[in-house]
Amino acid sequence: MILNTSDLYKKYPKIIALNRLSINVDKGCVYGILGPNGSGKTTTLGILLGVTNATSGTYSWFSSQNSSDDRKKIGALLETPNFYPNLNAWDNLSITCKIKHVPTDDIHRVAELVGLDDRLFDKFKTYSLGMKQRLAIGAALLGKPEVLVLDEPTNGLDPRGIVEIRELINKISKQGVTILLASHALDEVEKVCTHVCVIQKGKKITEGNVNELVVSENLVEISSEDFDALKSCCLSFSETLSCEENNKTLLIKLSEKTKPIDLNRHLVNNNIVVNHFIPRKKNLEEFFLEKTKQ
Amino acid sequence: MKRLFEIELLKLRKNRAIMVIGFLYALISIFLVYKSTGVKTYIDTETLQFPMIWLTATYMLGFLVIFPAIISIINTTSEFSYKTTRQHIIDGMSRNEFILSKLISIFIISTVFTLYLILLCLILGFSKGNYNEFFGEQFSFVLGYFLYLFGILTFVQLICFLLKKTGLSLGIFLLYYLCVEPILYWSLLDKFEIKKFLPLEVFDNLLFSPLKDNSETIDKLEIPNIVYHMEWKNALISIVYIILFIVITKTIFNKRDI
Repeated sequence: MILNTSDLYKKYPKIIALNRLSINVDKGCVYGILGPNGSGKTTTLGILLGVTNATSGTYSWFSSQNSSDDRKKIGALLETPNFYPNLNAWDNLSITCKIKHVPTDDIHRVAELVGLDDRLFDKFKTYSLGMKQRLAIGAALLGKPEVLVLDEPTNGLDPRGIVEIRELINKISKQGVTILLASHALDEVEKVCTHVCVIQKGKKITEGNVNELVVSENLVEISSEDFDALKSCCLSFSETLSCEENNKTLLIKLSEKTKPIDLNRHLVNNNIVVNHFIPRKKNLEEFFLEKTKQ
Repeated sequence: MKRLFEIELLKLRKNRAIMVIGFLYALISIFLVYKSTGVKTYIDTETLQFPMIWLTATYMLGFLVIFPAIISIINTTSEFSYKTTRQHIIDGMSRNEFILSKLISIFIISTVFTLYLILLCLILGFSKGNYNEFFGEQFSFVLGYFLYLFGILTFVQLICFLLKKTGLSLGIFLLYYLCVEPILYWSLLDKFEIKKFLPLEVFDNLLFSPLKDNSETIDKLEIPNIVYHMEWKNALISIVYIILFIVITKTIFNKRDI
């Protein structure tokens, strides 16, 4: 067990930011905390990293007593990269090294990993947002931490930057590093996480394996020129469980063992041609909206 | 401890604003100390000769405490505005270590200013002749000067940790230094000895004025007892204040979300 929290509770003067949150993170998984803005993600990570004091509740890293030394084994990036703008990347990273008791030789390794080795001696303030973000991830990787904590790691980045960060996360997770990631970007969680916990207004709504939570339903998206005929034909198919109509597109839920090809064959037999046919899994967005609507 | 020292030294050394303020201080301080040579004093000897120069210079440079104060404010509040405080804690510094690192930083600032003062005195003193007695008991004012700087800077730290903003911290410090405490001082004039225990007054008492129209003499209309050394009683009260400021800073910082 890498992380265990029990009944974390945080009350600000006007709101309850975190309401009895208990989560467990196992070694080697990529654990996503998913929630809309203001749902308590950053508060949770802030408490786990010692910058926010919980009103009540406990947590423990590596099944040990809490201490600042635990955090030396954790690489973390909370929201924005925090560095001294007037210092160059090397100086900034050497400060992190000294705090974490890591030899400064490690700077070259992480700089190469995040692709900043050629800009190491430029001042931080001359960096682009994407570079700042990569430097922050680099700083988090100093000393080869067992756990990486990332809060909205792709926030504000352009599509290319987002892909780069995502590849980096996958690369790091393959090295056996446990990753705890908070995000409101559903596709991000879907693409990189193995486990997910959905929270809203500080409360845990659901928790589990991404594939088990998300892929439980068998869906096909169809549309046709002759929409009414398509609809009645789909409804006549014996394996159709439900049919949702959305903007001249049908979302058909099929029974578990049915393959999309079976539905297609049924349509062909009834002389219906389609112009849009996409078998798909329920995506996290729908999953999320479903779980958080109350 | 050593690594905290290295970190703080790096932050101070590579900050251009701090270097500019340091350079300005160097110019103004030379001018100020040098100009004090013509002032009427109740001390018979030349103010810039050894060993009296230690008393004169520490008192004169005491007026320039705003320079190290600004440097300290920039150094500390930038930790909050760049959110590096937060990052340091996340990276594995404990909150107490962070306070310690900021104390190390004001220790470095106080030490550099004190060493500069010693250098300045040696140069000016040698140019004035009289090599009979270099240090004398007046040299104790150099220790007083260090304690004066360190004490005021712990007070400045307290303000910085409380307010976090550079401009606001500087403003409040100046307001206290130039208005609040002088007003308190005068309003408490006749009431016992309380006024002597106002925090900045306590630090001020570590230094001694060589000037004839010393504020002390205005109400008493007599020349004060001339003291040629720092009074240890004052040093002790200063240390009590320093500890008090550090404890308050620590309490505030440990309770707060960063």
